[in-house]
Amino acid sequence: MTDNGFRRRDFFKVLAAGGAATAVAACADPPEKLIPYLVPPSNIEFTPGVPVEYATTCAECPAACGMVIKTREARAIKAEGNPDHPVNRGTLCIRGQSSLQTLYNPARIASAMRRQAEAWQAVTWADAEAAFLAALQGVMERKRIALITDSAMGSRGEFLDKWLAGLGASPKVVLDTLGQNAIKAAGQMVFSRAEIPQYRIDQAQLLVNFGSDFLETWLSPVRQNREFAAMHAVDDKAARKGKFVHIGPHVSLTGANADEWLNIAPGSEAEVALGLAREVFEANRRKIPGVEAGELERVLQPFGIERAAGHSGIDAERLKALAKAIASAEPSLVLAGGTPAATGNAAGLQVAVNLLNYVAGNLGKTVVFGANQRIDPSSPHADVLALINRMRNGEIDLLIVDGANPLYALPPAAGMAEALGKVKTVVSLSSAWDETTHAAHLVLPGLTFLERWGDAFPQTGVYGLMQPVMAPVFPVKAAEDTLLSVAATLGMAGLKETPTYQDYLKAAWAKVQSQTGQRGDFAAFWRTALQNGGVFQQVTFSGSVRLNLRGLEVPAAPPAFEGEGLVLLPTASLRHRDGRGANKPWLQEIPDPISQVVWGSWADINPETAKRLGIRHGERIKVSSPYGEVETAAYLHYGVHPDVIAIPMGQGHSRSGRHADDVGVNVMTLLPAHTDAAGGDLALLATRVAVKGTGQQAQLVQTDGSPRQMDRGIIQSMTLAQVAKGEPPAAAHGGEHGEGAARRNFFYPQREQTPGYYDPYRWGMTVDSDRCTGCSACVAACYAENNVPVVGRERVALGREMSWIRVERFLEGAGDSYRTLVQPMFCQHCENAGCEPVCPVYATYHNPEGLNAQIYNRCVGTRYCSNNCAYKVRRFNWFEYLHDAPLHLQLNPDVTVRSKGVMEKCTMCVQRITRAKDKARSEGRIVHDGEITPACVQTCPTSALTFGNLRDPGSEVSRKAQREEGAHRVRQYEVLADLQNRPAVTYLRKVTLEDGHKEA
Amino acid sequence: MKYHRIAFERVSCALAFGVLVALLWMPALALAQVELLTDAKVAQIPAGPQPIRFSHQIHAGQDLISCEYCHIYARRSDVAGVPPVRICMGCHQLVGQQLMEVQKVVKYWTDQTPIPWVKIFDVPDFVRFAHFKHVTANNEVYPNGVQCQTCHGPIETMPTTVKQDANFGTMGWCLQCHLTIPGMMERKRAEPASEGSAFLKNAKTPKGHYRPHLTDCLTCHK
Repeated sequence: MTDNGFRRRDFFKVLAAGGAATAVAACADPPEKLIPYLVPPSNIEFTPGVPVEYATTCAECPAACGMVIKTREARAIKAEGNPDHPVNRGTLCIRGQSSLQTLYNPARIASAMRRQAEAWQAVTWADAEAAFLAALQGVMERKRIALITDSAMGSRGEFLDKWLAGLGASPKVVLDTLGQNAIKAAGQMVFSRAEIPQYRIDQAQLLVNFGSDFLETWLSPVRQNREFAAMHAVDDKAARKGKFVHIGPHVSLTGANADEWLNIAPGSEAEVALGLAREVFEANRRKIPGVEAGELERVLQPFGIERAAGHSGIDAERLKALAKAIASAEPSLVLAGGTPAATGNAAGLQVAVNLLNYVAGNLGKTVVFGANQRIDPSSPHADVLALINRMRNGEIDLLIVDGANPLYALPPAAGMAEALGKVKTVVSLSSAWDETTHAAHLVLPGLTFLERWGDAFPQTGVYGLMQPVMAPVFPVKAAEDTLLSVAATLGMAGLKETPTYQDYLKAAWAKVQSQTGQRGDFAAFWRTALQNGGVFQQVTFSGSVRLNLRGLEVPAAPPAFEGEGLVLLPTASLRHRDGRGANKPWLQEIPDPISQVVWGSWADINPETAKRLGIRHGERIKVSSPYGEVETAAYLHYGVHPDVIAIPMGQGHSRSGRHADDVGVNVMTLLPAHTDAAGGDLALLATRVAVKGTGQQAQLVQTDGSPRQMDRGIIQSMTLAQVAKGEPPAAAHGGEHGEGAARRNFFYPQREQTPGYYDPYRWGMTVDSDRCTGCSACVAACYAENNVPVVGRERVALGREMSWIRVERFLEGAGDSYRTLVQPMFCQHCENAGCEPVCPVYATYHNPEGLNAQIYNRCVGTRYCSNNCAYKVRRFNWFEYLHDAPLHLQLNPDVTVRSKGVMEKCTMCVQRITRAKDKARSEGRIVHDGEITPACVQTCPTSALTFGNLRDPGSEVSRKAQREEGAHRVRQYEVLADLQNRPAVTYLRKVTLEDGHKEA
Repeated sequence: MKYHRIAFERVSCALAFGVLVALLWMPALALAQVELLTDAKVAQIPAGPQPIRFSHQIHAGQDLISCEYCHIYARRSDVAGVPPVRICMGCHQLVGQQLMEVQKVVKYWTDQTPIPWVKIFDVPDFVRFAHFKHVTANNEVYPNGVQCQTCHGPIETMPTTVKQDANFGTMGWCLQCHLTIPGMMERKRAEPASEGSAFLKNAKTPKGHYRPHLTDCLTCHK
């Protein structure tokens, strides 16, 4: 018993002493330090405790939206859209909101590194640069040096060209697996204009979309969201809305917003487009000039509706009706793109769509050339394969990797791994670890776009500038500056006199100054451009293009798919795009709005196919192609063609940081490295895969409880005819528990009539479900603004996610005619809240301004409030959640970081309300309408959310909510109104063109 | 909405000098040994945990330097601002260099290192305390703003800055003042105001502006 000389009594003594020491230590927090500035910033506008905002340009995708980054004490804490920027007008998407996690990515490389065998060693910057120089000088034949990059935005592309030319190296390769070269190629073939035209979605009466995910990643999603809402959301006065028809073998978020879905066979898009074009051409023949009509007749002659119906599996009558609608719409717009269109015949589809737009009379109206949209600077995929081939043949001695991650992004069949092994020296300039950087020999880490200089020209007349919004998180150097420093040492002509990239950019912008016709001092022009985020001009494009069909052959036959089984469709991820955003905890934890899956991959399978294959929902399945095999979870989804299996891109990393590694699978491993010869993009829809169930349950974490509303009427809809008549649906969902009943039985004291409340403010919101597309940007904005912690897959599986907003998704109907409903749900700030009376410690209460307040340090964590909340929007901190370094630098100092055992929920961004009230009070007034925008409202690309003072009858939110009894309430409703919680959030019903589907 | 857009160049050099508040928890420093000074008054200051034995009594009391000369942000920000080292050197380049404590300041300046002061007046992290709202207060009780001493104590008499009121920063201590504002005592809890109460009568200031509800939790809790 006492052999080891430590007796039980001793043990208790030690325990007691330890306990006492702990108790003493816990009496007071250890003193904090106050570290002053050495020298206060000379800028008079810079005050600690007061945010400073810098305008810059987003580089998360090539769309190049304008950004305003809010910094506090020299740290970026929030990204918002630049209201003056013509592309995004003040809003951002989910990826733009999460760009702060690119900046504070925990996988960022903190210093120069060198690989010794398999181990990485930190080296000094000078040593690393010397090694880089030696490697460059060691290559005698300079053509044996190559550079692969992921960004050639703005002046950067030209700069890289100049640097490589100065060195005598091979031309750069810009890698984007979601390239748009096919659009340019088809523009050249049909209209002799090799450019991406501007698609004016807002002008269209009828929008027909072949597969593109224009609300998610395709081209310029923020702008397209805004324009889509302008075209598609109901106009309450005129009771009018445009129609959106989605054609493709898969329904992602974009397709879920459609009024009609044509579930065509994969790869038959071009046939359908040409069949429609033939039909529309016949209808509109009189309007088309004679010469062109003759050419069109020749080209379209072999095609027709019957043939299209045969290929696509869609009823010919339905296609005829669609053709009629296209011909009669004034105007229509046909789009094609995205991964379903990225077949080996992508250019053929774009040619077909160009012809369809032409015969429908959309050129110059909704399809406008001359905008010179530089949304896609990526190289043709053949160039990428050519580089790999040269590497494999030992023709490349030095490869510079600049941000691109080809080892992950390309199909392994392309042979990148083998080729990389044949290169003597691989130098990476990437800012964070990824698969390719791990395979390099030397790393001179670059800076993220929020720390460096740059620019972007997304379209004619829009010149966006990128400036560092804070000092670099790590003491490393921008890739451009590393290259310039090398250029100076090598005495490279044309670049050796340029000390930094900032100087290079200024020289480039001297040209912008003259192009935009601005005279005067360059320094003043530069400063104004920096303050505004660039130069934005209203330019009218010359829309006139001529048809050029001579000798055009339209290769429309559906592309062949290798192998046996289901056609594999990789889908671009709303959250991770092609995988570059994977190591961002917010993006992993925010559910995909359609599947509601977090932290993982899944495979969309049609329920009929699953039945045929004997696969259950959530079952682990083996998907194998001639090129590879992955195991993932089966997700039964009506929105996928029975002959297709769809797996999202962007997951399945192995060396990209702890939030990305081993999460999900990389769908690219199943693909061949085929190219669309005519278009130039990688063919993503190219192979068939064998799908086999394993009988085991996969780790599939979904945040939705039930996909059905169970007649609760959470997301309500009505028809356009009802809006026109001005009558709400007779028995709104909820039946006899509808609002009329609620009002009659209301016996609680009404705060509106209670002294001391709602004077002068009652904060409230409206959510227009007809405008909401489900893009989830609001969720990311809320995470950023309110220090919402990320809990990881295991905790989300237990229902312990902390998100203050969730985008709810419900399904109605079944089969091809099923319908998806989405809408954001967050704390409703009820006048008669369920949570308040059950709190035993008064931690949650109704504030005089109508906010349902939550006082964190008062909360003891009984969770009664959450149990009694009808909307299930309260979140409990089961643990002290980490914000692992350097992610903690992003925390908003205006919002408490909650600790374990505390309940939390939406505050309507009370910190913003407080600041606005402070300002108003010091000016002796009350807050103006529009002065306060919570983070979610601020970023909503479709303006679905409105916030304001319900007590001010002139405010926008009052106008939309129309709370007074007897007022004109057609679309307005409160969620679960019969519970008599009287929420401060009013929802506006979604409007459908036809009568809604009944519950299946 | 008006954005303050500032070209990065104009502040970048200043930003490079580091951040205002270090968030790291630091253990209390061991007491430094008392060094004998030639200046008798300074010698009387007991040694504290501060890196420099700074005396508000000398600066504010004897030399009558205004608080806001050094705490430059008090009137326009949530934080009053710990004086940048350059402000110390503004005077001490010329005066007091024979004193050992001043020599420490000079050393920090020549080393270009900020002085790691120990925070004395601390409010919990879940509280938003805005200096400017208090310094610029304008109501019946505080027509010309709240004096610094009201919360910080008779700072101009302190050779070593100490928190004289042990309750500083606790909720009851804050409410002592907030409840003196007309109408607040009548509605100190989050419940309906009674008809005709002083709270409703005082809903607006004599000038006709809405009075902030100073006993609402969200006024201070963030």
